[in-house]
Amino acid sequence: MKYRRLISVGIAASLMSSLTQAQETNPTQIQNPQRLSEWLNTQQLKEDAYSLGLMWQTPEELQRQKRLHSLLQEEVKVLAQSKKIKANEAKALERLIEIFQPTGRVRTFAAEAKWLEASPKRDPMLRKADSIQIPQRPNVVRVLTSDGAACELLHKEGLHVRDYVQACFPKYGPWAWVVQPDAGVQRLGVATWNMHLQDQPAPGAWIWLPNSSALSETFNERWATWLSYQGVASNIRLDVFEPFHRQVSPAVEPIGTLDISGKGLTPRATASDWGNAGLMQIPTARMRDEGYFGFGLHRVRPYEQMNLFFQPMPWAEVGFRYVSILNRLYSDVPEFSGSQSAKDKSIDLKLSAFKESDLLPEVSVGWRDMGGTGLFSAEYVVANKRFGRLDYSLGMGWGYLGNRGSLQNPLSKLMGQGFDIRDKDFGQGGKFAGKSWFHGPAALFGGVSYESPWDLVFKAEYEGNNYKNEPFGNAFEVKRPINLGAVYTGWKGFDVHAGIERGNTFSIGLTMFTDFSGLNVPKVTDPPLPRANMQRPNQSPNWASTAQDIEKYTQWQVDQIYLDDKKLVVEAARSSNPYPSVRLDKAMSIIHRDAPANIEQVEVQHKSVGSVLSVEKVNREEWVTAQTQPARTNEVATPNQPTYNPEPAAGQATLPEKSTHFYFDPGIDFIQTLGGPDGFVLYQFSLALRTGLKLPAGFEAKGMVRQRLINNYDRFRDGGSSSMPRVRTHLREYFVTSPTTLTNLTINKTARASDNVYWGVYGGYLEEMFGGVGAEALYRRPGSRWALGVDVNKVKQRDFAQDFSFRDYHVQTGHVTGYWMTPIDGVSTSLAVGQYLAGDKGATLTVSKTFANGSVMGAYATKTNVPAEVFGEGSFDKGIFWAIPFDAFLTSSSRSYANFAWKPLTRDGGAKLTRPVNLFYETVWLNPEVNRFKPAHPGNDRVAPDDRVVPRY
Amino acid sequence: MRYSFIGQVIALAIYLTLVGCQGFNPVTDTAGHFFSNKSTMGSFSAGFEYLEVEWQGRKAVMALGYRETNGSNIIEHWYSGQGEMLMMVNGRLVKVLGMTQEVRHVVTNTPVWSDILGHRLPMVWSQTKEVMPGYRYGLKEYVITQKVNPNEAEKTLITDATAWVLEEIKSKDEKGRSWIYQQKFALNADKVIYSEQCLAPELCFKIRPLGVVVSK
Repeated sequence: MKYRRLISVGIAASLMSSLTQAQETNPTQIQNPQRLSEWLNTQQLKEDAYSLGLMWQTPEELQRQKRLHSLLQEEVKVLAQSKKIKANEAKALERLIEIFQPTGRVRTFAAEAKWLEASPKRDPMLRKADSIQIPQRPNVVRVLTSDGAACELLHKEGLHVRDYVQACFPKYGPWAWVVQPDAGVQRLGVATWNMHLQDQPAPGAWIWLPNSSALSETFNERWATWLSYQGVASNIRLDVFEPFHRQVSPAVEPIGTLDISGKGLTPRATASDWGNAGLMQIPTARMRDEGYFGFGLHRVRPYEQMNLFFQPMPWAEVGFRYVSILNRLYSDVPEFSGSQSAKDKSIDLKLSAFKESDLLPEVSVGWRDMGGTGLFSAEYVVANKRFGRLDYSLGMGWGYLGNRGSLQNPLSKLMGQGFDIRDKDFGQGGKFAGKSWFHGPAALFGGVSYESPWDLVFKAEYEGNNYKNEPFGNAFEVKRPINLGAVYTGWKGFDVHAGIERGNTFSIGLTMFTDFSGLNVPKVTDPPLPRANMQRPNQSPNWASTAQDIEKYTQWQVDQIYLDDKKLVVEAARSSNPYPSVRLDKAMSIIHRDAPANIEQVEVQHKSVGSVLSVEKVNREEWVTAQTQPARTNEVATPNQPTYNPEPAAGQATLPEKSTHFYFDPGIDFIQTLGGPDGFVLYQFSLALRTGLKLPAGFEAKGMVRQRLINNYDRFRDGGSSSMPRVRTHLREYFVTSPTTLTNLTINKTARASDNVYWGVYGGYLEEMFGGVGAEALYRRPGSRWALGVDVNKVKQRDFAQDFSFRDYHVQTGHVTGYWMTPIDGVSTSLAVGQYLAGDKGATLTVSKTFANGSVMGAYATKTNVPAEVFGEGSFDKGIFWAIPFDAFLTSSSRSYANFAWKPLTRDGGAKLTRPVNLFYETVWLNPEVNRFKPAHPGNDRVAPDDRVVPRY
Repeated sequence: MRYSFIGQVIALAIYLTLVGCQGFNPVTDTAGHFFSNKSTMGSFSAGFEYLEVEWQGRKAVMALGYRETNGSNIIEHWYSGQGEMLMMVNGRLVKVLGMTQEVRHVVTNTPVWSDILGHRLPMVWSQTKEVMPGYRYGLKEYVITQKVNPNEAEKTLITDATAWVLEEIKSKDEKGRSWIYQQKFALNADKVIYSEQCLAPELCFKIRPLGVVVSK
């Protein structure tokens, strides 16, 4: 082996003796400001000029890199001092830092003059102190390890990072970073368990191979980014590295028919029959990508399942389902439920315990039907280990997943014999049956999936249920305890499942899914924005027309535009929307088009609750530069941060003062109730007209009228079992009595009492079912992550026709609500304590996750002093909700959200009033993360290669 | 349903009137966009030369930016309004930028059209491409080119073609699997007047020069 290696080194050295020298390509100093495209057009580039390695170097970026260089040096010192890395490793890193000096390179797009000419935003504006360097086309790739060793190989099309790494070093870790000549950086798996479809290293690429596990992923990422400033690998002599060697590149092996090693794999967890990531009946430890939202229908007689699953966090999968038991009736009373089959509702949770690594599998812990009737409830611990395209699962289940009972509960040995007994009495359901979790006999389960290269996933599993003790007294014959199935994954967002389970029963299913966090539709029906250019108008425009255009493009309400010497101030109301920074850019496009040349600063003052809550300041020159040329550094642009201390708007007002402002917003309205005994889906489509009238002294009148179009709420009959005041279970009456309804009509006033205190009062027809008066106060510091609100209301139940009359029932209701926007990525919580509509007292806890594109997933639970038996089925009120900005899925911009909610049952306990004023939402401009939200990336398959985002595996 | 159909129609009419008054409603805009039969072809400007390009079900026109002659080669750069650029040499795609698949550079010994048309046997040649995404630099393709007789559909499609050329190309797809594809060229006096060319299995073009627009 040793001799073979020596011979190969010798051959390589003789083949590449000319490559010891760094390829000399002197940078060209720019003498006159010009675009890169212009510069390229004037050059007589050699045949071997390598535009992928073009280096644009700026003094601004050089200064930034000098700071980063010092930080890298410091970081290595700290690592050495803390003994996290050995002294020789620290020395090697220090030497590498010395070799790789700051260059001032700024990443550019494809350097093709004729293309850049037509894309000014990608065409750098070169200034006098800049330099450009285009290297000769290299024919090597270099692998560099964290202990300073370098290995050089000839580049071959078709070789991947792992091929180069394997040829150079006998031992290596699971991850490598490829640094492409155009400064693109990717972390890539090089072990059997993390292999996937990868970009090849281009000629001149670096491969960073950390061989110390003490180096964190963040450090390696930073280091690889630092390498990207160096340009092509051949810019630096090979013999400056200690040790260094050359290696013969391996032969390119075509991907096999089965591709067991997974070189062409894009791993994706598919759904089980139960909706969660899994095989068929059994779950796996795998998680979907954050933002997954999937709806599945599966049928294995006599069960039919409808699942809705989400992945709000990378480590948490949640979902709920309805299981129809086709051979049992919903109830024995035909007048109540007709021939509808029995239904069971359940909520699932799966948490990732740890991620897969070289030695350890990915492990997850999960609960199925954690708070339902317990009919299908189960708990499990499951581990997964991948070998290329084969993914093996092994787990232990309790409850439904452990019905085979082949094992004594291992927890009983550790934690007492109480764990041998599983309590199956769940009463009304809806309770979190913590005392039975992981109790009772257990069983092992396991299986394997093969993600084939032909859009088919094959699955085989052994399950822990023997089907002898099924709910509702069912028991099924099991011919074989092995289930076999396949999933067709060839359609985007749509999987089709089929299989044979229990050795004698066919299963079929389909899963429709999307990425909540990735929803984005190009705004092709928006009016085209004026293109930003360097010219400015010499004269003032018709400001009324400018204000109208700003409103058209931003959906703001422009109250006034002030001119104050070189500053222009826009007073905007109703300006909260899903993507504030996009709206600001649109407003700037209009302002830059219209504002006279002397205007240098633009301020947008966002008004709500009778006050300016925040101010966005834009430097006109900087804004135009950013719109018309690439940035001169690699610094990641951060969104414009609002400030909270506005100076009173001064200067000349350009618009006539308006004491009133009327607006209306027609739309289609959809209400739905899922899963009752009367009809699985109850719904109403109506035309809705929302109107508002801003009045003097901060008063506002608001109203909404609905004209019902289609509705099946006449099927809703379940409401009589409540022994509480019927505050919500008159659903049927409210939705069928009158086709035209006044949903709400109120008069409100909101104001700011001091820097941090806001108040509001309101009265009228507050919502469909209640009218009255109320008041709210909110303490919220600008930019703070928490707030505290109090609301009190005296309300009376409205007539079923939703006209101007009332019923007899009245109540006082109100809450003290604490809000907390946690530092965890987009997660917010609130806790409201108080009295509810039925007079019951208790608390509501809400947790939600907001993705970067503004989509929201959340859940709430309300527990009041109403005993479970009085509350009825479900024991307490709970539900989940999600909201998607219209901006994320419509072709025109909108400030609205599509809201959906699901709760297992409509009950009267824990019911909250819907108020016309919610100060927390009306003060959204005080949210420190208000500008975090932006349209999602359109997806790599819809953009040019330079605009792709690097996928994470 | 106790309310009348006429009531719903009136309500719908009021709603549409209101929407019309507002002139801008995201929901109806979106519905209109998906259900309308509007052409995606842009407007033409007099004096510009255009190319009709069809790919992935989308038909668009691209405007000629540059036409240069280098020896016997005619080099053209065509641009779309979406920042896409095609560079063609003698009617063949040699650079594509701004699209989901790009060809950054080609080193080729492509035979000239007159040689192909004058050759009785298929001609075999190769080219090396720099393809994105995936940094597939040095992608080798082997090409067999031959003059063929068009089928009836092709004759009807392109009536003024004097010759048709078929190419079979052996290449690799993004996943490294063998990918063999065909390209067709319809010629008139050594000029390509219609072609079907591919960059990737999911990205094939139908290209037809439209000529110069004389007046709008």
